[in-house]
Amino acid sequence: MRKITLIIASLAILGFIGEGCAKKGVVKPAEQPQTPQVQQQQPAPEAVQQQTAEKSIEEIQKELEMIHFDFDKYNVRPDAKTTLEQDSKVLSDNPNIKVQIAGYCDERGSVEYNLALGEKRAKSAQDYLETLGIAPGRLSTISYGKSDPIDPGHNEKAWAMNRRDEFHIVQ
Amino acid sequence: MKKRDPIGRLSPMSGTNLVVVAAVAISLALTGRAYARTYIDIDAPTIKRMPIAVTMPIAGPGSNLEDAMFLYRTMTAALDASGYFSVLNPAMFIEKQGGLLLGQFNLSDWTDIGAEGLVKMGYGVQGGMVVVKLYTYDVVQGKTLLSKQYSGGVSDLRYMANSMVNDVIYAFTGHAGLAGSKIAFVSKKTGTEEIYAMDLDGSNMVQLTYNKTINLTPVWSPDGTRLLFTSYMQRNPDLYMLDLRDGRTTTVSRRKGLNISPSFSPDGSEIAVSLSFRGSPEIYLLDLQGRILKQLTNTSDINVSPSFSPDGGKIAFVSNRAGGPQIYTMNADGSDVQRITFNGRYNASCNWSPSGNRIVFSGLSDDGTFDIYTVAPDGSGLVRLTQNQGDNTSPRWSPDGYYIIFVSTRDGDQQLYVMNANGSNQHRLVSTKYDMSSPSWSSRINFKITIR
Repeated sequence: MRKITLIIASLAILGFIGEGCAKKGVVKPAEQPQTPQVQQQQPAPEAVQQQTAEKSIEEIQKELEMIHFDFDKYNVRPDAKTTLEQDSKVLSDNPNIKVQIAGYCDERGSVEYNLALGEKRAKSAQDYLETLGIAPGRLSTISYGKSDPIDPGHNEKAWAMNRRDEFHIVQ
Repeated sequence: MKKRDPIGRLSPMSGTNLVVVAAVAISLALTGRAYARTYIDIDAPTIKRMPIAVTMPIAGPGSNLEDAMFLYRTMTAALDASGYFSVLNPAMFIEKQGGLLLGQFNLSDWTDIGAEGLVKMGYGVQGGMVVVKLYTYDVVQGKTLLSKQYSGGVSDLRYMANSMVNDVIYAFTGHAGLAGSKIAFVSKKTGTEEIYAMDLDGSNMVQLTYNKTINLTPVWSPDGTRLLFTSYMQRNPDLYMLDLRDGRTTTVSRRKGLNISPSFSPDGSEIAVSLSFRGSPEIYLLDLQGRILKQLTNTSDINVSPSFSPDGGKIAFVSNRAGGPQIYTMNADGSDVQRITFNGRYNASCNWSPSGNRIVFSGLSDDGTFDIYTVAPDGSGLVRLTQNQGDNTSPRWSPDGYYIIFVSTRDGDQQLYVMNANGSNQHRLVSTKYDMSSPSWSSRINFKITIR
């Protein structure tokens, strides 16, 4: 586990995610053969299992899909539950990784309340993943409130996109 | 009416257009002085600017042109920025060489050009000290409103000028100006959210954080010497304090989870803050070293944005314990929690007025935008101050309680605006090309900000 050196989340915090990903962290470097291309969209569970040991952190990171929330809410929506179940499968298949769940909000409302809301969102996902069997020690949370939106727009489409949890592999 | 060369000896100011910065209206409660007449009612819904003439300082022994110009520029810019005065162009002046005292100049030289107020200054250096004599007149009535001497070292000239401006504003409005106070705010000017401070007219802007992470919600200490803020500089929203006298940043709280929405107690000795290390964001009372004195809320919900009443006895805060965010008050020991907002599903960002009788906050209006409201601490007398002007958020009182600074998107990006406490005279504080948010308004600062 300690060999995994890439800390994607911290780089993301610094806004360097683009450059940062060039540096590869690998689960088991000694045994690594040519990594087959992974289907990013909807990988079949079997495929994930087979390829686990050979995936780079970036590839695993890409499999961890974000979830979205309703305005001023932090309950996990039904569609988000489906996503979290897929994410928990990724975590189960890659037992060496730890994840920091980052909660975000849309731009509306107060900076302070949104920081708290973002943390509640991150903790909701953490709780749900734990009920799905992910060990609590593998999950941590952070809130960015309304900072770092992924869609800079000022409309409902952008807001819906920005109300989210991202799952950043940290170890 | 003859047009003459403006001020003669010291400088040709004719044609100079003083930069019109967005008006800032300001004042500090002063005691012990009162004038029979209020020339400008700053509580009126709209304010008609009073035409005022300011002459170049009359040079005394040891004076130099540069300092005299500095005094003149500072005085005229600040009077204009106050929003109360229309400073007359010296090109209009009839008087060529009038004296400083009533009787030594012709009132008609000023009334003939439309002036109602007149400011005259004498300036000299005696024994290494700058001495400025300031006179302010009602030229219509022929009355002396202000006659005062200021002295200090040459490096104190800015602070002396601020005092003079405040005194002139007081003479006409009954409320001293806040020249010398500063606005701290957050901007993404450099690409990341950093904290800045500037004068009320937007000048003397300084960047205070440089860590290129996320820096949020600066809050002044009551004496203006320190700023509390949240920063991700160590990869978590932690609480820091920046001492502006020496530029030193100290860590106040780096507990797990949130260390956010700080607020100083009125005497500056304690901090109310929201911490989530025990699970939910709860409000705690800390000392300035970050040690917990008391946990004030205990729920499984969100509790943020504590703001002390001016006597320190109560705290307003935001909680979603009833569903969405609403404003509550409690005693400063956490007892007697009362909900005070019931209109709308989202009310947040509360700030208790220095006078104690109003709480300002930002609420989601029926039309789907955020507006600024004030309410009495018991929940009565709700007043809406903005309408149909984009989203209006992060309201904070001026230190004297006469004004509210807030963030609005009415002109596009997030920018800072100021209005009177009753919602009148709304205007943009400063014109910039970058966003500005999370304002905090300091008391008057009379030291030089040090940045490391």
